[in-house]
Amino acid sequence: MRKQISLLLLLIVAAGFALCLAGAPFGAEGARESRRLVKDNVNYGRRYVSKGLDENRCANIVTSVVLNYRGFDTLGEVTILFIAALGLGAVLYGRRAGASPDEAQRPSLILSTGCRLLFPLIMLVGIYIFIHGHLSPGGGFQGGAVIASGFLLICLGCRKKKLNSVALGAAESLSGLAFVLLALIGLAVGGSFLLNFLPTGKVYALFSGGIIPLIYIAIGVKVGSELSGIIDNLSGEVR
Amino acid sequence: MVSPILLIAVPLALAFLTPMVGLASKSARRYMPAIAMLFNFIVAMSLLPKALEAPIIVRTAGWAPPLSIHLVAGPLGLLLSSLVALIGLLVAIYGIDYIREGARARYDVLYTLLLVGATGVVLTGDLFNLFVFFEVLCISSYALVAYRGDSAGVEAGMKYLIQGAIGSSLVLIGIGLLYGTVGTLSMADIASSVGSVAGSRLFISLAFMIAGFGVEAAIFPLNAWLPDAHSSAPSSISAVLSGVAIKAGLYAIARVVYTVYGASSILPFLAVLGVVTLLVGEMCAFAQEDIKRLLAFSSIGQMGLILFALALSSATGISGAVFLIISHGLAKALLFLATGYMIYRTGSRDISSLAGMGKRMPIMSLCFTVGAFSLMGLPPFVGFASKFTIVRAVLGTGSTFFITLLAIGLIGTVIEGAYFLRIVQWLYFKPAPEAMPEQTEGRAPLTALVPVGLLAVLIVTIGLLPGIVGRALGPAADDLLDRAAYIQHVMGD
Amino acid sequence: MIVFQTFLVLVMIVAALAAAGFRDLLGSVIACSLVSLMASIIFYFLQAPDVAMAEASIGAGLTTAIFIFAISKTKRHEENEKTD
Repeated sequence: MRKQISLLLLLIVAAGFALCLAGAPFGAEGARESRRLVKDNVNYGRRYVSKGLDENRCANIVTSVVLNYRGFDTLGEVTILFIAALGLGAVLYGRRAGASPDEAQRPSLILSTGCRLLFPLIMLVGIYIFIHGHLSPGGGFQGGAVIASGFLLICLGCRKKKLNSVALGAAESLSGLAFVLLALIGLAVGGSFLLNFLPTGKVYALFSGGIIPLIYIAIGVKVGSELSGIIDNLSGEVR
Repeated sequence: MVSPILLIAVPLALAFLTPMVGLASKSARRYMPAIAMLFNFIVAMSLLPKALEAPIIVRTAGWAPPLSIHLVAGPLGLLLSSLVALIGLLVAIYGIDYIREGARARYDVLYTLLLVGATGVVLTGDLFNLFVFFEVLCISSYALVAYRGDSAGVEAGMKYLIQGAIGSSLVLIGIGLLYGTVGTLSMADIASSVGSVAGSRLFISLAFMIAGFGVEAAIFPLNAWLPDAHSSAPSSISAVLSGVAIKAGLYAIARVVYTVYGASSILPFLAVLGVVTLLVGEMCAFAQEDIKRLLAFSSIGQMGLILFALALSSATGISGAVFLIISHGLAKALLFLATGYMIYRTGSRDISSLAGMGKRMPIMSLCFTVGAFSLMGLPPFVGFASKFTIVRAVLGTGSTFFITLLAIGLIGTVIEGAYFLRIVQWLYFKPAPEAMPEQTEGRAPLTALVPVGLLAVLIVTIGLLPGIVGRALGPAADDLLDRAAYIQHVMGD
Repeated sequence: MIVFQTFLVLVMIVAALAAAGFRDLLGSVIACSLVSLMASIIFYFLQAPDVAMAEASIGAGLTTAIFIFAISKTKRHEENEKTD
């Protein structure tokens, strides 16, 4: 009986949600709608796409939006990830000390050799993704996640290996600091935080986009070290 | 001129720098949050006079407002960020010696980032940016609640995390729906185009946002996490959570309702919610035997009163609400900080263990009493001035609806008086038990006495001379009420 | 193409239901990662390669690993209790 009633309630809530959301404009219709609404016929998405290439000389418009027009949000998002990693470390602190020493089986030779062979390749892919963030899809977040998956492989495959947490922490701090300082230089030079103060170069060239690739490299290092830190914390705790 | 964006960027840089400082010198690291907040306090106070004339609009990446993220450092924003910085500074000084266990390095960074999040929430002029800083604030407070790593702390942190995460996703859905409807994220731009959209389309996103921010603001049906979270955290964290973090949720609701939507039709509903929250909080607080849970429930009650005052939609009402935010922030921070060392001294959180504390820790007890009297609304403390402003505002509206609600709400204030007087009675008029283990480590050091004393002095000073903050309250209320001016300031140039 | 995308969405729904229904936590986690994987393919078809990459690497990869770390901890604990 109780199950039926809760199911019924769930259905009512779901129907309410569906009714509410059915009226919300999305996709092509939403874009048309918003174009009609916003003053001066400006749709910001469209505006970014049409002018972004000229303004930042950054072939990947998504990157241009993420790091320039809405770069301040990205700074906040990087901070959120930083907080999550730190918070996990703070909560797990003290629990690791009591954990028993390495009791896991030694991995077989094939496994550990395979992991070691793959690791540099994964690193290469990750670094490629964030260095080319302004040219091709992907960027700091994606590249950082790929790098962290490389460290995950090492954690799983070669169990004796421990990551150097001091180095990870230093990479985390310094890359975060680099992001803020790059943004502050813009404030000092041109009076606006995150201003793209470097020469933007030619579109589609590796050295283009001004500070955008630099910031993406900082984000890549930061995200990579943070996610690796999370994995290191958790895998250290498992043992 | 210094740019208000430094209020966010510099503490953020210092927070990133803190682990590096820790590698060089462990003792220097402990001072980093205090340095960051001292900087913020000086900058915010120096910008405030200018912002009282006209809000300072800060662009990022060099683009004019609707195109890119911008900060709007108006009177309200800067007033609240000075409050955040002031409380943050005093609690940071307190935390230098108070935090003895756990991952100290992470505490300093998380603490700074929590305050960065609160500052960002009150300064930003972009709806999605508001969400981002809100998340910075929330996630660092989840981690700090569980900071001790004991089972009570982790359970409270988990509870808070789950409810807070649901709330944040509701906010995100609301922002997504609104963005889908009006096609922009700048609050001023939304406000200018929201009038041409049918109300039924806006209502859902507004409901999502109020529900989501309401979780952090601990409005009545959404406040289950607060007593556990605020009481299990270390006292210095409870002080900033109660003094700063929950106010950020309330500020977000006020900003969204007043500025973004201009939804005055929803205000009576918020007023009723506020009074219910007030009653529930105070009644639960009355039944508590645990001093920190009592203070946490009392925070819920006060949030209800602030929400009620915000919903009055008159200039006096909102200045009263902002005044109450200030006075409650100072008083509740003071109470939690004073309680922290009392708990260290007795090793127990029972109210009965406070017996005879007036003789054993005279300064802490005196300051505690000042804070408690201020919360009750006794003159000459600041709580009286703020509550009196609210009562005046309600009588000023002349509406029977609000006056009835106020009459109900006053019952809550009476209950509040009852339980705080009971604590004061335990402090001063009960004999201390004979065999008392004297713990020398519980003796409050100078770094604890100075912030607690300063908070008490502030409460008395502002209570005697309410004009100190009174000058900023009027413009702050206009900042929230006057949508047209807000839009014009942001979009005009 | 629309048939293929519908198929992906169906797989996603089934996997999500399975994740909620499985008794075995490990199975649930794998089903969750399947949802993310399908979502990432759909993002790619919706011309959002950046989001697709993020979803594939974080949603399908790292999150699953973190969940498995957590589950392996609970499992080990149970085994220990059994042997004691």
